[in-house]
Amino acid sequence: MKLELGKIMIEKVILGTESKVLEHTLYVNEEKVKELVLADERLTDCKIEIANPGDSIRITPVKDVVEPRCKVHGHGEMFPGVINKVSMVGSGRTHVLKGCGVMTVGKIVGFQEGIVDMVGPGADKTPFSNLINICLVLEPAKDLEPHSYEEAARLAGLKIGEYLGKLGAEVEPDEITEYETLPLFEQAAQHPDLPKVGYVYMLQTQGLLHDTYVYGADAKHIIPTILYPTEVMDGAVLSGNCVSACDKNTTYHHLNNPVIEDLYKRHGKDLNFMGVIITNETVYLADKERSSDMTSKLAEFMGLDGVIITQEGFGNPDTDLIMNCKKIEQKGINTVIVTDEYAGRDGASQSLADADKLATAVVTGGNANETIVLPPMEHLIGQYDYVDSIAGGFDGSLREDGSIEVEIQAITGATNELGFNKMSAKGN
Amino acid sequence: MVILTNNPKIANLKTSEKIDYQEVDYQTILVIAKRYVVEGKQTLLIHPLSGSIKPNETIYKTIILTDSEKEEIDLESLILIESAEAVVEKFLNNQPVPNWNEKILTDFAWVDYYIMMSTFERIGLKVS
Repeated sequence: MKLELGKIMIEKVILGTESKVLEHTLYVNEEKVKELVLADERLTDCKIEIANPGDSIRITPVKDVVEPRCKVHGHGEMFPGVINKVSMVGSGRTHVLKGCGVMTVGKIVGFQEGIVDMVGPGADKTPFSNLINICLVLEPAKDLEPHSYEEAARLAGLKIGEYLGKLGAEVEPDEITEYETLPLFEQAAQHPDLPKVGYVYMLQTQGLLHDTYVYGADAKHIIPTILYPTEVMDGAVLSGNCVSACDKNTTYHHLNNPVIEDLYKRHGKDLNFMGVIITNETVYLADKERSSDMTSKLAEFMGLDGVIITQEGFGNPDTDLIMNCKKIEQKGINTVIVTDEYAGRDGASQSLADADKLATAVVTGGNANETIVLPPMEHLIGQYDYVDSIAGGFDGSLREDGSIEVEIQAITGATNELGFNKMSAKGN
Repeated sequence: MVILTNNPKIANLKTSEKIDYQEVDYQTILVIAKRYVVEGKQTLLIHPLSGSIKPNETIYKTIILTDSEKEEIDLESLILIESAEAVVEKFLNNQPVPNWNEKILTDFAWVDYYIMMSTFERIGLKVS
């Protein structure tokens, strides 16, 4: 399967009365966006605000971020099985409006959505401070239950992501990158002397408000399966959860998965990237056994020499992570796990809720318990009602001067477990 | 099957299985679950750290166990529950549970309820 990703660089977003992309500027028809969002009766208001990198703006509570994309050639449409019919994606050409994101804002449940600062020390912790964020501040209908609000907000973000993405359909991209993965036997034969590497992609699926969708299917009900990596770039995997902001994989993360991106960069050079095995993180222990049995079997079936495993979340998913790692290692396949840590404010405590001696190689996205003081911002997009109760906040988090003391787990994307974050350590 | 919970939204569900509703804190639910595992020789059916809300944030916890008594203690269940106890202690040492208002507590109860409803579906348990 071969996909061309055409990147159209967006340097400015202007709200107005027409929608178009012209000379690196995205013009957004505010009324049209509202009309599309409010077609869902579960939402009663949608305020649209733009946050630019470097602005003194705080956005909270952030639910999801969607990168505007559209299919130009090839099979299917963006976000299949959710806002478009179920149809295989991942081939042909897709255009991306690079440099901006559609950010859904609203308190789905009071304590889980995150904070994005566009400047200052908080901005340094989130990659989303580098984007021009088109914020949709959503108001739910009275007495709407949280899971219905989550769905309505999710669909609103995707609809606007696609609507804006389509404005780039006729625009000549600034950059075109080609990604290709062959059917299994052909892929193995393409670089017979290089180690065959696969990616086990764990998806958050603990239950309502903790779900991820694959071609529209609720991933907690799937048996692990194999995807071409390019399917992920076209929206086959979508976020549908309200878990901790720091290590939640937003839809933007799925579309721009850095593990996939980096494996492609090294493909044909020092490794042979064979494909993606998606799996879930359910609560039911029998599911954990079944799914980890299947991921290890598929890794063996694909003839892999090495596997990278990423997780989403903490606690219950740590057990899936370790089960996947252990069972794949027991097949004689080397693994590297990617996670984050809840190691206490001093970083000295046990980082994960599970461990095994076979888990010998780990990459960390950082310690979510690290605290930070976010200075006051001149403008707030969203609301402060729940800052004290946001994950990582505590009594008195919001100070009178507008500054906030929180653990970095409150910052969207701060310790992302795909490695899509800003913290790093370098050796000499 | 035993559904052990301190969540009032779970306590009132209608099911043919036993609901053991206890008005205790999160940590004590784990202690009671461990008692089921050790004394009752019962097996955990779900992970004790279900959900992404940290144990020093939410006060609600629901755990499902088998009701069949085995000859021996299920060691995997024991390891899981003891690991969960260690994690909870770590979180509470880091930061105690804030004194939440009713609205937030209701949200926490909803999240535990939602996760459990999805889990009942996975297990094939009928509840209403």
